[in-house]
This record gives sequence, structure tokens and C-alpha cells, in this order.
Amino acid sequence: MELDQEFIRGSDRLKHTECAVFIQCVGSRISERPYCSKACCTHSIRSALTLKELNLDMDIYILYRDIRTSGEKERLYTEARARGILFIRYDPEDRPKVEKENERLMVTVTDHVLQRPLQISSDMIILATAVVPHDTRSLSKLYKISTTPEGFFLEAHMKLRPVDFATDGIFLAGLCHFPKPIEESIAQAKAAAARAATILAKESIEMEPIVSVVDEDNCNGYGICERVCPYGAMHLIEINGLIKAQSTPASCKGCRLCAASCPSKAVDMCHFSQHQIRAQICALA
Amino acid sequence: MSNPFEPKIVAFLCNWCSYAGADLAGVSRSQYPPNIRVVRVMCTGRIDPVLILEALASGIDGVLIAG
Repeated sequence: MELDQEFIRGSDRLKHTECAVFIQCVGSRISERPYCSKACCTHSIRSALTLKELNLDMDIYILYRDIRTSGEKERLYTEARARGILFIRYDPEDRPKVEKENERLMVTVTDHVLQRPLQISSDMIILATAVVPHDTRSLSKLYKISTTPEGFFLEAHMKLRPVDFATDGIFLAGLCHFPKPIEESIAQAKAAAARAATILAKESIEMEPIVSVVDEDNCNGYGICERVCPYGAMHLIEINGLIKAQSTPASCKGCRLCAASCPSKAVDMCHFSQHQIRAQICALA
Repeated sequence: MSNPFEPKIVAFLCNWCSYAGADLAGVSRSQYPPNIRVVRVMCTGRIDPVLILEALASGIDGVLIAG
């Protein structure tokens, strides 16, 4: 980030830098954060190439665990190798050490080919730190959307509904979902917008077919269903002087709490009726 | 040769969590014993206690409710 700002400012310091060291996977792919931050390999290599353009004599080292320049970005990696940027692989058990020595930074890293520690005296160190999500707990609680253990938002289904949440009408895109480069965020945002448009383009919305139905002949108007319904879909009304329950299909989510709690078994669920489930059990027995 | 006892288990799985978990197990090709039979319900809160008793009465050895 600071390096990017220096690029934008056109700082003179960069032209006089003799040696720069990039350290990848700082705080990512460890037990607390097992994921890859995905954008940093490409970004570091791109920055290293920019540094080389500013000062051809600069020694640039990239200390990495695995280079993940996916897809066409592999070309950047090849170009970086061709331009003389040195890549040194380090072991997660034996991380590079940085010490300050006479106004310069001394990096010690074990080279995996030589199997020996290397010391690099550097003017600057650029860390590719892990992408960490913001605290999303209050937001996820408010919209009833699930998160991964790390705090990223979780889509309804990785393959079948990749930009939807399990909660209807809420969509996701970008880094709140997982670390990803900007072009993937844009593609995902377009997908989310298209999914939202499928709702907006309709004059009316078809309801889920799994809703409760009340058998008015059996209903004694106890009102337990009205009390237990978490969605406010059950109401007591008066029909011909008798108190009866009435279900509102638009509010019903099909949980069937009402049916399970009805003492007179007057409520049943379309497509998940008592006799259908009983038939399943009988088939297994 | 005597056959070892294999219980018949009915699993009531919530559509939103444990059924999705079972689905994921299928997608990831993990294997689980065939004597577990899954009954999908929209919510485990919907399970009528009578259904559990009926299952046990009809010869099911165990009932698993996950949700």
C-alpha cells in the first residue's frame, strides 16, 4: 500500500533504492488464516516490475511460498524472471527473519536450492500481508446470512448459487466473500446485479409451494400456531362465529412449527404432509 | 456365519443445515453407511413427536434428528 502511494507520488527515493525485498504470504496460509489472499502474488510481481523500470540496476528479491499468478498473469511471472528478479522459496517452518542493521534491513532466508541461509541487505521490504475481513458479525446477524469461520460471507451454494445468500433477495460480491483480484470482484458484482435483476424484472414473484394449510373443520382455534409462528403467518380469525386459524402463504416459510404444535392436527404442510413423511418412514422400516 | 447387527436409522434432516450438509457429503463423494435413511424436513421444529414414535414402533432401531 505504501509502495503504491510512492509510485503514485513518483517518489525519488525509489530511483535511488539499491535493493528491495518482497515477502509473500505474511499472515496468510497459516493455521489462524488458512486461505490464500490470492491478489498479492500478482500485485508484488507487478510492483517489482515497476521498480525495475524505475531503476534497472535495482536488486529485487521475492521471497515466496508458492507463486499463484493464475491464468494469464503467469506472463507477469515469466517477465519478472526474464528481467532478473530473483525468486527465493522459503519454508513456512523457517520464515525469513528481518533485522535492522546500520539503517539498512538485513533479511535472512534459507534458500531451498542451496539449503543454506542467505543474507540480503535491503533498503526496503514490502510485505504481502493477508486479506482479513472486517468484523461482519452484526451485519450477518441483522440480515441472517452465514459466514465462514474466518468471517467472510458464505454464499448459498458454491456451485449452484454462487452470488446468492440463503436469505432471499440478498446477494454478494467482492472481498466480503473471499480474497480475490479486482477483475473477479467485478465479474461477481455483474453476476450479483444480474441475479438481482431477475427479481426486479418480474411483475410478481412466485411463492415457494411449501406452505401451511389449515383444515378449518378440525381447527379448534387454540391459537398455539399463531404464538409459535416465527414469521407471523398464522392468525386467528372469526368464521361464522367460530375462532379459526388462517395461514398467510406469502409470509409462510414452510417450517411447519404450527403443524407440529397443533393439538388437533388441523394444520398440514403442502408437499411435506404428515402422511408423506409417514410413508417415507414405512418404506424404510 | 452370523451377521453383525446393523441398526436401521431414520435421520430427519433440516432442509437448511444438516440436509445441506448431507448434500455436501454427496457432492464431495464422502461415504456413509447405507443403514442411515434420510428424511428431509423443512425444519426440525416441524417433526411431530408422533412420527418419531411411529418410526420406532414400525421397526426402526434409531432416530437421528439434526437441525
